[in-house]
Amino acid sequence: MQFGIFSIADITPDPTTGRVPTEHERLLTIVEQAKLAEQVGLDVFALGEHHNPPFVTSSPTTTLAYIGAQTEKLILSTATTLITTNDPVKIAEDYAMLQHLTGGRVDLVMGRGNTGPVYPWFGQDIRTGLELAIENYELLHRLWREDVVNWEGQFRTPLQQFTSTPRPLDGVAPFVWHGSIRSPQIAEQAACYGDGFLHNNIFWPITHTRQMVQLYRERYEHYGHGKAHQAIVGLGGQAFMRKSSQAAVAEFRPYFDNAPVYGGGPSLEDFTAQTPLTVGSPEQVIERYLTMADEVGDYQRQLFLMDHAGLPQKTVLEQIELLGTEVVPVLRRELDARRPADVPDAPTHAAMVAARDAEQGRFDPSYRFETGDNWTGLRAGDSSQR
Amino acid sequence: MSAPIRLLVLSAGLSTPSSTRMLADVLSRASADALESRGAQVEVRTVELRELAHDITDMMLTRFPSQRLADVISALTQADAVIAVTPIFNVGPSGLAKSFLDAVDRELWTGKPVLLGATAGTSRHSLAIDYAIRPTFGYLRSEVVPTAVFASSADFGATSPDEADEQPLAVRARRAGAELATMLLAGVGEAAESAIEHEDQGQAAGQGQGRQAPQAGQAGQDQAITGPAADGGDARTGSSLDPEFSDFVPMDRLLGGK
Repeated sequence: MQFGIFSIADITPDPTTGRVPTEHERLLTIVEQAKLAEQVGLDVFALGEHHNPPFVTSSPTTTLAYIGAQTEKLILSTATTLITTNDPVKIAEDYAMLQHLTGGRVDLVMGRGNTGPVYPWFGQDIRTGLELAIENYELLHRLWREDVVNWEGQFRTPLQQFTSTPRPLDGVAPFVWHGSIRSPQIAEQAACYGDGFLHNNIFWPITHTRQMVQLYRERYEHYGHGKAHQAIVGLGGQAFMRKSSQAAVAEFRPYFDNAPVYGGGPSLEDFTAQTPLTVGSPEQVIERYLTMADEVGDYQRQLFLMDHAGLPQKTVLEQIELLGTEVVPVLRRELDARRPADVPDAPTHAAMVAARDAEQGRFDPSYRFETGDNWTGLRAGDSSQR
Repeated sequence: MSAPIRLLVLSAGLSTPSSTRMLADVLSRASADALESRGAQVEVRTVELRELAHDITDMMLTRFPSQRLADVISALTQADAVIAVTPIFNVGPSGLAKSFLDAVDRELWTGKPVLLGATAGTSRHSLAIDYAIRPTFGYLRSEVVPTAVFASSADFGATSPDEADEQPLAVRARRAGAELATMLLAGVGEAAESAIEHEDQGQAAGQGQGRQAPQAGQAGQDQAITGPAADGGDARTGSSLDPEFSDFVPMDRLLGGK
């Protein structure tokens, strides 16, 4: 099972001091957090994409490549990649680049974003958000799998004999998760492709999470990718820890009460009862997150949001260290122990290459000047028939 | 009628005791009497929204209901009719009443028979129901009972036409209750429910048309698409999933037989 952290790179005043980091400082905190995540044994760092204040993460591949250059094992992911407003051609190129440079330590979580105004900034219309997510991903999926693509769609100029470069590392596309909090259509999309489903449930009660994941699992089986319990599921999470739960609550409360997301709403006590947010000792966090698999089945990836609500960097680093050294080792041991043998791990690049080699033989990485033919056996003419 | 008719009474008064609650009780009694006198069994549940004031605000901020509020929303879903009573503040419903309407799904009100009541300090506010509240329920496509009942402080004491501007409260409550009973026994709410089902299927098929991916020309031309229903796992009736989770078009249709 994979564990990690994700950041949406928000700039939020520290409510206890009023301090606001500069954009420059905030970006460097993210890099430092990712590096620490690897050092304390976490598997994944995922970065959001936002194109408006108060966020500083408009170009995730830049940051992820910078982190990738300073880490060795950490899987670099997104939270999320805007499949609606990014040109799928550019996503295909950017993340194939990142995949090559990091030795395959890349996967993506596709999302529609939660900011309506972002659509027109990129020439799109929010009313077609779902349709964009469907069409753009279908194109992205093909760009990574077919050397030569002919394409005609509703939302972008047609492609004639187009080759997205570089071709994916070892001929294997980065693994894709589809992130959805409320849209059954996205769970359906993830299931159809046999991709992963990342349900970031940090603001939702488990009754909702259970059903979203169940829907994805049922549809995954429907599309013949495996049994429902073998589908690839990731969850979000949120925790704040100190040795004693009283100390954790006392320290975190001003951040909770003033956070842009939940400030002025439910009490900390109500919110922790209703959502995965856990504020207490590491043991309490372990106890809480051991129950998730009972609700959604054995799953493959658990991400935590640790840097938010204006928490100072020193505190965030302490939280990541507690997560990596005290919480995750126990969760990893217990959740791996309960997982049946036929439930797969989250696909890594190495695993996908091995699976492809077993099925189709070894990949020939020689550069192909003639792009009309490739290992898939698809030709341009075939593509246009789809 | 075999199963009892479920009346949900929502009282949006702020004080305890409140005249809004008194009017709510008058209207629920009158409605239950009218139904029972025609042989129906009635189950009345009365909810003071005041007790849920924080939960309602929280739901507007978090978008999901607390357990207590979820329980009331579930009662609203299952109710055969709603009696909604609010104080008039600044020529409109109480903020509490409006917040409740804003927080819960609009669809819950569609086709639902609703009896409206309101209270105020003076009878000068008596048309506020018709100007400021009835239009909201029109938008929500509820089946609003023709007679809405307004009660000012004076109405609670008046017993004859001489003592009140209009007919006594008890008479107007009886008329409203009788109208609600007539609507319910004529199956007004039920007819609306089947119309909703029908329309949902039409919309789902329409979405199929709108969401066509390239080369998916045949998508949406098939029979009405109702999510997993198309594959035998009907989320509406068979699966354990709530109806909202069947709101999608199967991808194999969107992508044209992928």
